[in-house]
Amino acid sequence: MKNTGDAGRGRLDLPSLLGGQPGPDTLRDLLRDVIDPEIGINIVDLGLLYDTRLASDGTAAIRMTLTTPGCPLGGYLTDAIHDTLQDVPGVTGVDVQIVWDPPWNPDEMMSDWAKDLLGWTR
Amino acid sequence: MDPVNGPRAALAAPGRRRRPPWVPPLIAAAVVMLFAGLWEGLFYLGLPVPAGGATLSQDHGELMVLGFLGTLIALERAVALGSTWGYLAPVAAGAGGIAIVIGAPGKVGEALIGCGGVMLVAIFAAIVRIQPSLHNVVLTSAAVCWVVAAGLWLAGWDISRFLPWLVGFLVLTITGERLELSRMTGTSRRRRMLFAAAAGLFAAGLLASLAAGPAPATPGGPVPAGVRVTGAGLIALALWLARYDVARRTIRGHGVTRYMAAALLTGYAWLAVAGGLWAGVGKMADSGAYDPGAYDAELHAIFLGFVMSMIFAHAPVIVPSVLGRPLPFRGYLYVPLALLHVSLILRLAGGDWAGSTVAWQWGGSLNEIAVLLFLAMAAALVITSGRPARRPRQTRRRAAGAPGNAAGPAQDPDVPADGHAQGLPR
Repeated sequence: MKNTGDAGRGRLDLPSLLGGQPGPDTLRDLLRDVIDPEIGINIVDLGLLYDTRLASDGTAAIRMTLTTPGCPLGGYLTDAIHDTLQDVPGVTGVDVQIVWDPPWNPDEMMSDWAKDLLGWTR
Repeated sequence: MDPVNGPRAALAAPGRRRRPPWVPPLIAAAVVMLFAGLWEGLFYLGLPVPAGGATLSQDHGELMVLGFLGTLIALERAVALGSTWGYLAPVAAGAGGIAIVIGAPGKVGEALIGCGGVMLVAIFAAIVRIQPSLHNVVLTSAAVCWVVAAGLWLAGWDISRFLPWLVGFLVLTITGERLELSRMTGTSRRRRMLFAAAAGLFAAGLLASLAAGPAPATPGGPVPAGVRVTGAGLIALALWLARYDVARRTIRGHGVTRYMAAALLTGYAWLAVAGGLWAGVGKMADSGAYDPGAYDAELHAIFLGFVMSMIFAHAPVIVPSVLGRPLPFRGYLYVPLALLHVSLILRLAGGDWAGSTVAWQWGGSLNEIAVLLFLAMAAALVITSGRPARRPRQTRRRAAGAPGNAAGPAQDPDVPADGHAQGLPR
């Protein structure tokens, strides 16, 4: 699950544009506005977002993780995801699932851009 | 909760993730304990206020650490775990704290608070089962410190003898979290080993402190070796934080990110000061009134300078997570933070070190005003947050062009209208 940070960036989401509903890449890009307030970096570049889908009924299904199961930020991020997606045309509901498998692995999941910003060292 | 798949938040617009109905009453109970503890703080400072009852005046430290902070920390963890049984921890701690405040007979309050600690250990045991890791073991150890402190309190030990365990609960809770977040700046084995060494030294000091026994220290008596070792552990942990904590990087951010980093880094400085006092002076005796010695400084450098600074730092994140309402960041939150640190310098340097009672009382009173000011600001921001909250601002904007942005959420008012267009080249 290497995060290059470029997934979907700038790609023409034709089905999304034609269908009037946001595709997975669009949802993913929108979620770059959900920022971990302490780190100042969005959940996509932090590697916390695992999967985005839009169901036929318009429900945006978001699968994500947290840095640890005891992380108290879950409620904050869940609300922020909801607030980000609730007014998007074609989205009728939001379903956020927080999973622990696979566990968050910053080495593989954080984007190079985020690592650079945080002065990543091995 | 499913041990693999965490709390699932199925949200149908416009609803958000629901919090249990007992969360607000628990926060209210914590605030009552805070007020009671602050009142007794004024009494301790020698100001002409009613004592507020024999039990309350004796239990300022336990009430603030295990009652007020214990309830909030347990609540935060119960919300994170997402299992109903987890709320037994903050409920027990909150009920115990209120029992102390109202002077309940027997040792009901102490026992309930002890039960809260046991339940917090159970919460972390569940978390460790999901994700075995060093940081989760450290957090579990913190909860064990709570249980030990409560046990010694129940057994009638003098507070000066189990203070290291109260400190252990808070210091290991905070540093365990920082260890976890530090993975964002690298995952080397060396840094984990250094943390383990620092925490191990600290834990060794805690264990050694038990050798002093339950009786209060006598003036001029020997300094417990455990206190000095604990102090050395505090210094080691402060150095580790100064070297590896992510706040060193996020201080270059904006808005709430920079504010949190500023509060964290200043708190680490106080942790080092406290460690120096514990290791260098090592005194752990309270004369019961104004003590120009190190006791006041040793305690409040860590409980106010370090711990309260951490609370100021994390409130903009924890309050929305726990309460489900935004606490939008505003620049004036720096005011109580600055007042806390400046007044603590006045208290320790002017009062505890130079021996000025006036400086000590002014410093202590302003410490309390800083806490109350922060509380009032935070409450006002939460209450008035019906309007759209100011979003946290990313450290630096990425290059944009995300399809669908026009239909997306409102932009951060801090970000220029063309902020996305400017972006950062990769």
